[in-house]
Formats: sequence, C-alpha cells, structure tokens
Amino acid sequence: MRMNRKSWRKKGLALLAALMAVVLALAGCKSGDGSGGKQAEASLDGRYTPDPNTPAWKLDKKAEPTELTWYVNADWWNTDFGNDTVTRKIKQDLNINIKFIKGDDTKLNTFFAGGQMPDLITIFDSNSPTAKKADTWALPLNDLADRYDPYFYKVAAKDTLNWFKLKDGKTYGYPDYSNTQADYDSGYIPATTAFIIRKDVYEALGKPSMGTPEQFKAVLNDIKRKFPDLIPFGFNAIGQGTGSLGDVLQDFIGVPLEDQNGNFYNRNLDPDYLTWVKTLNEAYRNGAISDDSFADDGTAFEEKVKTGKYATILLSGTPQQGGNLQTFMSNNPGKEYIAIDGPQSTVGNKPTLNQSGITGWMITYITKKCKDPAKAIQIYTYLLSDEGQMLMNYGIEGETYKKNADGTVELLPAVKEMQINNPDKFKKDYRLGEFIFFGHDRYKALSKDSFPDAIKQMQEWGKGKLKPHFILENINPDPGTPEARSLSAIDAKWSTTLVSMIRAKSDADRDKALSDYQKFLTDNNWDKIVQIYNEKMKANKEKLGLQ
Amino acid sequence: MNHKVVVKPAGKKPMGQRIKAFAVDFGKQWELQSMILPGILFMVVFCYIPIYGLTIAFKSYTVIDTMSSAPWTGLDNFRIIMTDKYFWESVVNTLAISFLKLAIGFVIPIVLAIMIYEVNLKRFKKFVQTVSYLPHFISWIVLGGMLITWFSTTGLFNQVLLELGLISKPQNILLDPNKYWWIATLSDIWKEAGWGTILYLAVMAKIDPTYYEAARIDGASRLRQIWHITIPNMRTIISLNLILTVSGLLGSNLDQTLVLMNSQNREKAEVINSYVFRMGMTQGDFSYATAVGLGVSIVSVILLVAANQVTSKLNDNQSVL
Amino acid sequence: MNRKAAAVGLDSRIFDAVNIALLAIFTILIVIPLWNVVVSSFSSGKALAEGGFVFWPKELSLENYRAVFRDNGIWHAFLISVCKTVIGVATHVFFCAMVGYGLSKRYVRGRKLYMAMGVITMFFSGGMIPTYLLIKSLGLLNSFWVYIIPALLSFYDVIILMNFFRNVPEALEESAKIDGAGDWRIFLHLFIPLSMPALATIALFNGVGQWNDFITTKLYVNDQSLYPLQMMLYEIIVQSQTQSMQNVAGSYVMETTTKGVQLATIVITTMPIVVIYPLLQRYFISGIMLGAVKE
Repeated sequence: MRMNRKSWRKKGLALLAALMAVVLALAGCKSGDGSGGKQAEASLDGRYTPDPNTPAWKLDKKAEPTELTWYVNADWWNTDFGNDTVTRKIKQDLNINIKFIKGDDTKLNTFFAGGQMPDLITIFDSNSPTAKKADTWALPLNDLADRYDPYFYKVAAKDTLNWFKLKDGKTYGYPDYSNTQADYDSGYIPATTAFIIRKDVYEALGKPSMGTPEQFKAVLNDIKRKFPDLIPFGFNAIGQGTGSLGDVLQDFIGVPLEDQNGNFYNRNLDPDYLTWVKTLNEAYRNGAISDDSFADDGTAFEEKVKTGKYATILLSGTPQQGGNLQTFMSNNPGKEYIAIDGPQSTVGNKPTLNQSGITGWMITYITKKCKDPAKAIQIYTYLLSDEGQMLMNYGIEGETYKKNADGTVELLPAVKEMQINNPDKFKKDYRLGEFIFFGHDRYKALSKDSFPDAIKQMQEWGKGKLKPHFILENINPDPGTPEARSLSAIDAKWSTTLVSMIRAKSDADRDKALSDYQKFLTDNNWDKIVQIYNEKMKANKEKLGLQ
Repeated sequence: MNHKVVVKPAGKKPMGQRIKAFAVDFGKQWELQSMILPGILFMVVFCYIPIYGLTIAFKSYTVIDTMSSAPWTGLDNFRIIMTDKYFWESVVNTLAISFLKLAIGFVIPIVLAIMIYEVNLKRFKKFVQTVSYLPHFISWIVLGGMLITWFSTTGLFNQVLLELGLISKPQNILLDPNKYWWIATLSDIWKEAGWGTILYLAVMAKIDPTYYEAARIDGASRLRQIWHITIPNMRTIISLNLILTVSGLLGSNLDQTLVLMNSQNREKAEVINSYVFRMGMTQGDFSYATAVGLGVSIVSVILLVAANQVTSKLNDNQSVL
Repeated sequence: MNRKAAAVGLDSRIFDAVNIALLAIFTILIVIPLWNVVVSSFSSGKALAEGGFVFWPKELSLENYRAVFRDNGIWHAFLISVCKTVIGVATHVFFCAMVGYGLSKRYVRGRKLYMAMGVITMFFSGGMIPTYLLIKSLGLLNSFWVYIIPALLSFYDVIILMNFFRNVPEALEESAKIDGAGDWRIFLHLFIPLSMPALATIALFNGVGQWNDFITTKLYVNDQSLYPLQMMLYEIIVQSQTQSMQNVAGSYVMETTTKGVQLATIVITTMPIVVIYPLLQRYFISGIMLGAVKE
C-alpha cells in the first residue's frame, strides 16, 4: 500500500507539472492583439516630388523594396507573385513584393475583427457593407493621388471615379472592367450573349429566320423532326436564378430598362417578354425543350455545349463557354455554332445587350493601415496606364508579343504555341491575362488572340447591339433590411415561376403561375422595394449626369 | 476504493462539511480526476472561451464589424426569423427529411452490420465491408452531378423503368417536388449506410462467442440468436446513436441540398441551413446565421435530454451519458 | 437432440444463403456507381462530357491525374497530410481515451458537471470569428500545431469510448486493484489493450477526418509549405473552375474538365484509406478476451 501511495504521488506530481506547463505555455503564447501595421505616413522626403505629368513610380527613389500584403476576397485567386513574366516586371518596375492572401467573407471579417488589416483589399460586391462603408477603413484615392501621384487622374476614368464616390464626395475603391458610356460608344467592348445555332442544322433547314414567335416554333419543330438526336433549344443552367431566360432574354428582345417616366419598370411583367415566354411554353409542349435543361447544373450544361447536344442555344457568357465551343468546333468542323438573329421583339424594340457596367467586377481599396500608401497608389497608376495594361494582357514587347503594322497586337509564335498546347506552363511562366486588377476590355480588343476563334463570329454579330444598363446598377435594397429579405424571397419565387410557366401543361396553368407571382409581389413588400429602386435610380442618374 | 455506499442522514450536511467531503473524495480519485481535467481545460479554452461569439446573434454584425463595433439589436434577429413564413417552411422540410432518414436510415446500418457480422466466408466479408464504406468518400458535389445525369430523361433511372414497363414516358424526377424527400433520404442512405456499420461492428467484435455456442446447442435459430444475443449487446451503442440522431433532427446536409435543389423542387427542398445560407451568408449577415444556429442548438440540446431520458428507461435506468 | 441439431443446421444454412444473397445485391448497388467513378477518372474530358458509358471509358486517358500531379508541391503536401494524420490520430485517440476512462467511472465526483459541460460543447460553438481570434492569440496561426492541438478532443468520441470502457467486466478491474494497481496503470495496461476495436474505430474516424480536412488550412494557414494534400486538391479544383469564370485571354481548349479532376481527386484521396483499413480490420475481428474471467 505504501509503495502505491508513493507511486501515486509521483505520477500525480508529474501530471500536475505537465498541466501547469500547458497552462503557462498557453498564457505565454497569448500575445496581445498584434498591432499590425500602424498607419505610417509615407513621408516623401528624399524619395520624390509628385509630378502631374509623370507616373510617380518612375520618380520614386525609395531604395528598399516595399512589402505589401494584398487580400483578394476570392477562393480561386492565384497567390503567386514574382515568378512569371507579368508579376516579375511589376516587381522590378515598382520595387515591391506583394504577398497575396485569398479567402472568403469569413476570412475578410477576421481582418476587421482581429485588427490586422492587409495593405490592399479587393472585393467583388459593390453592394456590400464593406464597399458602402469604405470610408471607415480605407483611404480616399483622391487624397492619395493629390499627395503622392497626381498622374493617377490621367489614367483613371473620371466617370468611374465619380460613380464610386461615397457620401463625403471622395472615391475609395477602383474597379476593373468598368465600362463608361464612352467605352460602349467606342465599339471595343464585345457582346457576351448570342443566340447560336449549329451550322449543319442551320444549313440543312435552309438558313431559316427565327425572329417571330411563329417562325421560332416552326423551326424548332423542324429541328426536332430532322435531328431527333439533338435537343432543339438549350439555355444556361437555371440554378437559383433564371439562366439565360430572364434578363438575358429581355435584353435580347430589347425590353425597356425603365418606364416612360424614368421610373423602375418590372421587366418580368413586360407584355413583349411574356409573349416570348408563352412561345417557349408552346415550344416546350411540342417537345422542343428538354426537362433535363431545368435540372442541369453548370457542369452539366457545359458538357452539353462541349458535345453539341443542343441544336440552338440562347447563350449568356460567350467567353466563359469559349473553351467548350472551341473544343466542339475543333472536333466537328462544319458543325460549329454560329450566331444568328434569333428571337426579335414583337413590338419593334431593338436589342439592349448588356455587358460589364460601370461598377465593374473586382474593386480594390487601399486600407487605412497601409504601410506605404504612396506605393499603393503608384500600383494603381501603373496598372491603369497603357504600360501596365499591355503588360498584364500581353507581356513584354519583343519577349512575348509584337505590334503589327495595323496596330493590332499578336503573341509571338512560341508563346502562342505554349498557350494552346501547354496551358499550365503558360499560366505559370507567363500568366498573361490573369493579373486583372484594373483590367479593361479596350486592351483586349487590340489582339485577335484575346478570344477563341469559336466566338469571334458571335462577337461580330453583337456589334452595335450593346446598351449600358448603368441606371440599374446597385439599386437593390441594402443587405440586412427587411426589403432585402423580401427581395431574396421574390427572386427565388420568380425563378420557380418562370420555369413553371415554361413547363406549364396548359395556358391556364401558365396564367395561374404568373398571377401567383403577382400576388406574391404584393404580399412581400413589393411597393416598398420599388420605392427603393426609384430612389437609387434617381441617385444613379445624378451621378452619371443624366436627365 | 470503489463503490462506496454512503448512507446519507436526513437533511443536507452543512456546507463546510460537504466541501470537505468533496475534497477528500477528489483527493482519493486523484488519478481519475487527473485524466479528466486536461479534457475540461481543453473545452474551456477551445469551446467556452470563444462562446462569446454567440452574442453576435443579438447584434447586427456584418463583414466589417468587430465584436465591439457591432450594435446590439436584442431579440430583433429572432423576431425576424420567427415571423418569416418561409423559414418555417424550411423547418417543415428539414424535419420531414430528418424523420425519413431516422426511420429508414437509422435501422439500415444496424441491419447491415449484423448481416456482415454473420457472414462466415472471410474474403466475402472483408470485401463487402471494404466496399460498403467507400461511398462515404464521394463528395456531394460529385454524387449530385452523378444523380443529375442518372435522373435525366435519358438517364439510367428512366431507362430501367421504361424497360420494366413501369412508366410510359421518361420523367426527370428531380423536377418533382413531391419526390424530393425520398431522393434526399435514399441517396444519403446509399452514401452513409456502409460507414455507419463500422461502429456497430466494433461493438459486435467484443461479444463473447461462447454465448452463440451455447445458444446453438440449445437449438436456437440464427434469427433468435441475433435477437437475444447480438442486439442486446449493442443496446448502449444503439441508444447512443439514437440520442445523437434525434438531437440532430433540425440539421441537414447543406452540400446535398445545394446540389440537388432546383427552382422546381425548392418548396420541398429548402431546408434550414440552405435557407440561412441564402438569407444570411450571401448577404454578409452573420447575425442572422448565428441567431438561427443558436436557436437550433438550444432545441437540439432539449431533444438530446429528452431522448436520453427515454433510452435510459429502456436501459435499466442507466444513462448512456 | 439430433433433430434439433439438424433443424438448427438447416436453418443456419438457409439464413446464410439469404444473408449472402442480400449482401451481394447490396454490394452490386454500391460497386456499380463506384466503379463508374473510378473508371470515369481515367477517362478523357471529352468522353466524360459525352457520357453514356458505365463500365469502361470510351477513351482512356491519364489527363485528370496528370492535372493533379502536375504540381511538384503535391508530394510535400502528401507528407504533411501523413504527418498530421499520424500525429493527430495518436494524440487524439489517447487524449479522448484518457478523458473517457475517467468519466466512465460513475463514482467520480463532479461527473455530472463534466458531462454537462462536454455535451454543451457538442452543440454550441462561438463561431468562426472568435475561434479564429483564439487561435491567433495562442500563436497557432500558420503553425503545424494548429492541425493537432485544437483537434485533441471530440466529446462524441469521449462518450463512445466511455461506453466501451464500461463494458469491460468489473471483475478484471477488481483483480487488478487487489494486485495494487492504480487507475493510470489499470487504464494503460488493462483497458487499452482490451478496447482495441473501440480505439481502432475512433482512430479510423479521426484519421479520415484529419486526412480529408482542409477547412483548418483554409481558415488558419497561409503558408503553402504547410498545405496538406486535400488543400492542394481543393485549390486545383477551384482553379480549374475559375477558368470559366474569368475572362481569361485564351483559356482555350481546356484539356481537363472540372468533373474529371474532381473524380481523380476522390480516387487519390480514398486510395490510402482503402489501403490502411484492412490493416485496422484485424482489430474488428471478434477476439477472445485475454485472460478471460471464468464466471
């Protein structure tokens, strides 16, 4: 017994000691909330004097490389830096080293909550509280430009800067692919939607027109008869939205963006559009639309495109399907998809195809905790300038691309070859077209190689059919409000309603689905939502200097 | 050292004495306590310290907030959720699917485990065992994609039914809201039944084989042996699993829902966590999601305690916990 | 006696026949889709998109696997995965067993409180943000130990082990105590060897969890040299999905579909588990208790 007690005690003491060690270790490790980068006022003493006619990065004499952390709110971002042509040059020219961090909203919140903010942040949602309250955590670009790099004003689009102004009159974020009215007018922006048909089908039927509802239905019936292995009509995966049968179709037939008084117009209830929905329903009843198309997810849709399963497709996002369309084309010469006029308005409206608006896509901010805001604004200027844009899209002249006599740009044969045959090495070594902060379609238009051959004819077809939808951007109710929640329910209801209408077994069923939807609107704060829409549309118009 | 039979006099002992008694016992059980305390320490650090995060449910917390900057909104979030008709629809769907999964999916791994246990052909047994748990590793994204293909009008499912003459026209059942609950349940069972047998097989491994010999000598049929020997020995583990499954009735598989739900079956497919995902997370509204999570947790604990009471009674008043 | 034995014999054989037949059907139902997954992972993207095959790919191709193994970092990631799984499982199983053993004795003071505390942790969690801040203040961000320390305890596993320990006959424990062994000794030398099936089960569950986990990495680790296999595979899948998202100049002919890569990922991830499981299986085979007590 005695021996036992002693061994107990030994074991007990050992354990106690271990426990204490653990606790001490934990306590010791509890470093205070790291101060992270304090806001260092980048003093320009000895570095350079700002000059409105020269980009500051050219003047900056700072010797040691600046280390910047850059957070991108996307899981798929490639966090490499400095190992490929594009970022190597950026590193060289600007004397910086960027450490990318990627993540999602939760990760983003840990920065705000934990207090260790990165130097730059890129987000994707212009309607989020992050963007709307940017003045609480980001530095105003105007001030930075004035103080460190006035050349910024030469490369940033005035309309875009204006668009992103917050209540204090300053701009905090700057986007990529922001298209202004001028951009739309220039013709450099390609359309990304098209009604496409397989060439063999088109020619076999004698190149018919499919503009009116009757023609549309008749041709689909013919396709069904002559090509029983194909599904006559296809469209983008519906998922939680409307695929390409909602606003894409509305844009295709040119449903007005606002009503005659300049107020919000519910395009879903437009008679012209509903006529076409009726047509689709009748086509469905004739067997021209497969039920599978409504259940398919994005992957399943892409597979059908890749294998040419659909005879005709109302396609939204031609560049995204470029790869698949190219694959089909390469494997089936003579059968490739071509764009034709497709459904037209029954009341004479012209198409109002949409593309990236003035809000753009990725929006980048410089945070208040940025170690060297001067460098940060220099990055903006660099990437927005011709030099930066050419570098981003095409690389280095003479090394990766050459300029032709007619002004177009062409990738050098070795590079092009790698792009086609070894896309992974291409991505790793060159990374052209990927570093897209502040990217713009106007530069992509310079090269014939920017888009796969398969969609070039579709882009040609779209010329002149684009119309900016600026007034409708960012008009949704603020997240977290009851109207936002109602809108979420309404959007879900519309998705179900549209599909139910197209799949309706009779006219009566279809009408009932529509009236259910209308009742749903009234039951769910629709008039309050419309009020918000109108207010925001008005604010948009003021920003754009319209009306 | 072990089971002390303490005869307590009427009325409680004074506090001082009780603390002393506790300390004495504690000292005597020193080794056991030393095994448990690191676990408690762990829980305090990793679970209880962060639990202040639940207060987000009573605030309005968005992406750019810190714990202190987010304003208090009291029970607002709860009020919004409770008065939301569509939230309650998702609760109905969640409960329906969970009940189906409980009714069918709970029993199947047990039956399957017994079947595997009873097999005498060693190689066949090993083969079935190994194969049975493999579906567990297929992610829902992939499985969902496969189901979309199989249930399409040209897919395997329709082909088989047409061949058997059970239907005249192919139909995509993924578009039928009324079939969704069955699709969700049966596909989940397919995926997880085999994996669920592992725990039961581990329990059965410890059953003394002499019992079976004795029963065989007495002339009991195989089924009787199972009923009187195998199953009683699994009582505790079955009870445990049952309690945990019941407590999880308000949960569901988000991955499965996101991939199988479409615009046509939504009314029957939307479950609590997919609804919260849409309303909360996609709008950057962490408070909404936390509030629902808190409510679900509370209900789950209540279900757990209730289930524990019931199973305890069936287990000679010995709680599994 | 003979008739009874004969009846039992016959009944036994019928039972076996039916049992095996049903299991065979079950196995077929599982194997066919699984086989389809494996075989599809060896199919070229093109044939995969066309679909329509069940048992053998129309076009055999290693392109999906090549896409996965392209990055040399994947071998390092494999190593990290093995390390975190082995160390994680060993520590987790021991820790949970230790706590579970202590709680298995119903006479332990404070037991009800401990159980209540534990059960609560199974249902209530503060959420990702406070946990992130905690991990940060513990200095575990970007550290290998973030895979091990927060994973030490799962109260569910504790409860399972607790119940297994209770099933060990008291007589064994009594005789050990008479011989003068303390609780720790009994735990380490008696209970652990006797509870191998339970420990193996927990080890398996936890091992699979550790092997498949990438959320820990996603939230707490930025350093690519600490990425486990699953994180690399996740990135590969996400990257191949973004080709269609971005307006990438010349994301021309995609050699691999996302689906193909996903399937290859599943096969690669599952392979080690399929290999290890048979080794653990011997613990599940019914065994005669060591030093059984004759009642």
